[in-house]
Amino acid sequence: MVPSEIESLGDESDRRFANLRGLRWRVNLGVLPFQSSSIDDLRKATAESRRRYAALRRRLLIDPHLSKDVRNSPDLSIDNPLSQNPDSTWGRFFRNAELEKTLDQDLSRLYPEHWSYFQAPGCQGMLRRILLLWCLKHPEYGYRQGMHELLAPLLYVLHVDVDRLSEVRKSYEDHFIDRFDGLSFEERDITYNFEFKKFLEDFTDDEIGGIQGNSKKIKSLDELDPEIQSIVRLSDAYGAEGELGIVLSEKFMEHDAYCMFDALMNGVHGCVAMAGFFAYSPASGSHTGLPPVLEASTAFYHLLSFVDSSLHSHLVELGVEPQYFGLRWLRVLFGREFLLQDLLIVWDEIFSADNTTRTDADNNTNQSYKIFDSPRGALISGMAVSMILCLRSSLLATENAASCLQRLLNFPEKIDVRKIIEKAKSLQTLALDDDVRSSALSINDGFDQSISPAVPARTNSFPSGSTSPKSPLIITPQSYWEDQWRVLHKAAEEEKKSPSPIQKKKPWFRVKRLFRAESEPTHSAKSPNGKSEVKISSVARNLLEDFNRQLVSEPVEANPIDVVNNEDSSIRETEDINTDFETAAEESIVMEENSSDLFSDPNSPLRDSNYIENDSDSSNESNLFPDETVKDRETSVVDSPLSISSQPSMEFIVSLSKDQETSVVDSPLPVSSQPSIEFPVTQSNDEDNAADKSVANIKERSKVLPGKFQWFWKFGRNVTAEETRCNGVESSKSDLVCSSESHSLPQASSSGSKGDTDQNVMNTLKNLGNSMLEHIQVIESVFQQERGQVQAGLIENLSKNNLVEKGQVTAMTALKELRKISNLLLEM
Amino acid sequence: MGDLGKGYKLVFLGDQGVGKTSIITCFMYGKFDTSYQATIGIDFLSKTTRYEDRTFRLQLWDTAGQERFKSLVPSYIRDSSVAVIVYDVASKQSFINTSKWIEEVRAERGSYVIIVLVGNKTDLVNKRQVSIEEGENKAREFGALFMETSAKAGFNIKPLFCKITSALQGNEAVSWTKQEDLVDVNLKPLMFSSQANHQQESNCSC
Repeated sequence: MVPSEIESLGDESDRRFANLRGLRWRVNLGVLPFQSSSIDDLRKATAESRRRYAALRRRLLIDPHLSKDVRNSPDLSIDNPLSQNPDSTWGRFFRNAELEKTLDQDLSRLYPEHWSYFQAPGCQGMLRRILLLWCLKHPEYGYRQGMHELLAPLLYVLHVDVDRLSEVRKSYEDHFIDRFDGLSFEERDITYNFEFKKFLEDFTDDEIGGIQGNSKKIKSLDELDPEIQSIVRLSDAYGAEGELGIVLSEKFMEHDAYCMFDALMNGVHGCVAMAGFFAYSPASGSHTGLPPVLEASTAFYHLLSFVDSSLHSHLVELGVEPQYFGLRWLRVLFGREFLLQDLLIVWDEIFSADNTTRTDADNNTNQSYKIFDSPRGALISGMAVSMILCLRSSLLATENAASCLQRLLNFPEKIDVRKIIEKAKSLQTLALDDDVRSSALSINDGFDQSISPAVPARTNSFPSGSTSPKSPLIITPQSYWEDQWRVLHKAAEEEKKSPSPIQKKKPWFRVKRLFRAESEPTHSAKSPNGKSEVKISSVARNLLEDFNRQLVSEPVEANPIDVVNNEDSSIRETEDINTDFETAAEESIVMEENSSDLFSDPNSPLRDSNYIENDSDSSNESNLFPDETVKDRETSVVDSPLSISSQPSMEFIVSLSKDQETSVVDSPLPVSSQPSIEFPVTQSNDEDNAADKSVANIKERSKVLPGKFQWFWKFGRNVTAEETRCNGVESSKSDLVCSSESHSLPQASSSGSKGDTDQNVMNTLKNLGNSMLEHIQVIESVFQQERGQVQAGLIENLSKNNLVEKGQVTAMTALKELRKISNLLLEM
Repeated sequence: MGDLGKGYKLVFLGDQGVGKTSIITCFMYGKFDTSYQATIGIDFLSKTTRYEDRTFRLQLWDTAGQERFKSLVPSYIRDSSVAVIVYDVASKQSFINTSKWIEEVRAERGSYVIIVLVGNKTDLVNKRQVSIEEGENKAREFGALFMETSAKAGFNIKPLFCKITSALQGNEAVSWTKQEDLVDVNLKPLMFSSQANHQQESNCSC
């Protein structure tokens, strides 16, 4: 005993049963213990399972002899139960007979292509008894069509194992001499009549053969390969459990097939129980509340939607419900879709997969398909999806459910089953992870819902962005004309009031303040174009008028904070627009320093405006960009002196009625939006220095006004930057958005009128613009030097005076050139 | 030539082993084979047939006789135009069970479906347990069409489908009826059939 056990342990390896599919399946299905078990363990388990079947048959079948007679067909007239058995036995007998009729209807048409094997009386008899006993033991299921096709391959593989045994016996006859004698007795033992004789002969053989068998057996272990050794030991009639322990036995094929079928149907407490696919009510512990076959069908459709959503959508659109074909695929475990030899390969993989249900509490909470709880269930789902994907092109070509289902239920025969299995395994891995992805999928669903509200917001922001750049252009012309007519002609002002009140009603209160704030910059913006030689008397008169007007405008300056806030919100709006557009150019502007932002951000509307007006090339557009920026700065610097001459220039413009002059006036409109940003800065500065203001205005205005303005301009800008950070963005933004929308239509009409501009005039203006650019760059370089020194922190009186004088000289020189250009424009 | 016929869904119901699949296969391929396996779940075939210069695309839904699909495939009768309920003339029980099948169809589709009662396996002359009169009476009782066939012998299979297509377009093929001695259609089934056709047409227009 001891040496035998040691040798058995030494032989443990899967290779022993490589060619014994029936034995491997019994291990995989749980009928026999794991493959690492010893031969003796296998023999004991085999004998135990066979005893259970024998007991079941003895209990449920009325009479074994009659059971055998029923093998052919039940002839009730011969065996009359009324005369031999009580009523209960009689009733059971007839119920069994009816059940056998139902079974025969399906068994008689089982596997037409393997008719010679499956239609043999012996095979049909075993199949009938196994199904009958299983159905009697499980009345909650009874017999359902398809069960016979789950059982048939199991019996078949057992038969193949026995054939393999016969081959080995022939090749190694010397090792089976004694066993051969024993088996020969088995062959003659077809009825119980020979029971006594068999007993005597077995006893005699045991005494004689024991000695010789032991000696040869010891020798054979050294000579034979592991498989042959296993087959020899598995067939030893004198080993553990005696004859019942012969693992490969034709005599007990019926017993072994029943145990395999029972294990397959109940799943041995595992995840996949094939009987569940024949049930009409949901399985206990089901999360979906669906019958198992529907839940499993839904599960592989879910897996398909994850792997190939377009194919899944196509099937759903056609109305191809998964249970239409899933019912058959799952109930017979793809048995109807493959030839028998290919099916055995498929079942090799399915049974090799572990059927133990994972008990991770978190996973149980998240996932909803029970079939994904074990590798075997996941592989079955993966197999279904792999088969569907194999038909992908033909399925996508179908137009209705019937033709689609025809292809799904007539799986092509000439197909590489190993490729399908290979893909099924990869899908199995995905299905097992799919529990996590199911959770992720639910999260993604929530995420998609959150995105859904965002999309309309983004869509809304786009029109807002396209509208915003135009709004400054709308506001400026209105305020400009209003102010001009009011100052020059009171009578004309009354006529102007008719359209003006309509405009005033639309904008918000804050926008109304923008009108007043922009009136002064508008003047300065127009001056360069409208400048001409002015008589001395008119200059003096204008100076007086300017002085009076400044006194009147002081009440407006009393609310600089509101004005500044409006401008800050405008800047914020521009930045948001830049972000929405998501262009590289816009991002570069946003990245600039705060001090630069004040000048750069508002240029975005300007550039858009230029694009709308000129349809110019990108190179021209890029040129215009710095041009406008520099020009605007120059305009703000010379604001004060230019305002002195603004009055006569206005008269000159009004007196002209030609289209060309109108176009000249319209062209600089984009520029006017820029001063609106800076003028409030100046006012804020004045507010901060109220004490010095009165003295400075009286003494320095006539002499050093340009220098004064420069200094206040720089200082005020810093103040504005601080306020920008503290500004409430969202509330102001919404206000501007509303105002922008209200002015979108007037802008359109304005753009239309600009389209009438003469091309020649535009070309000449471009040339003049280039000349102006050269002088503006000179002024720009002066300010760059001054800015650098300011950043260094040099704020001494001496340096201040030097900066003022130097800048003033350079600026005046450049201004002279600009005046000449203005004269040329006037002559046009 | 280019006429794409209207599609009609035909559902074949009846007990296990009465010959539903054999009837369909005989109609589809004109042959009978003893090697048909049991139908598990549902099987689908489609065939385009012409009748009186019109084209009909028939979708044939073959079902497992043992199955009670109500809980598994609720929609298999839904949208069907014709329900063909088959029994075995050599099996009294299969004929008795046709009542359940007919009631199930009515419960699902009301009178918007044409029901055809078919007695198959008439070649088993010596084993017949259901007479023609019994079949006719049950068909009349349920307002169904009636016909006896033998898929094995190829008897009355094409006339069966001609009768169905004729009913589908609201006309009776009187010539076919007269030529078949074993077929005797009474007035009442015709009246019910006309009523069903009328409602079917209104249903189609929707």
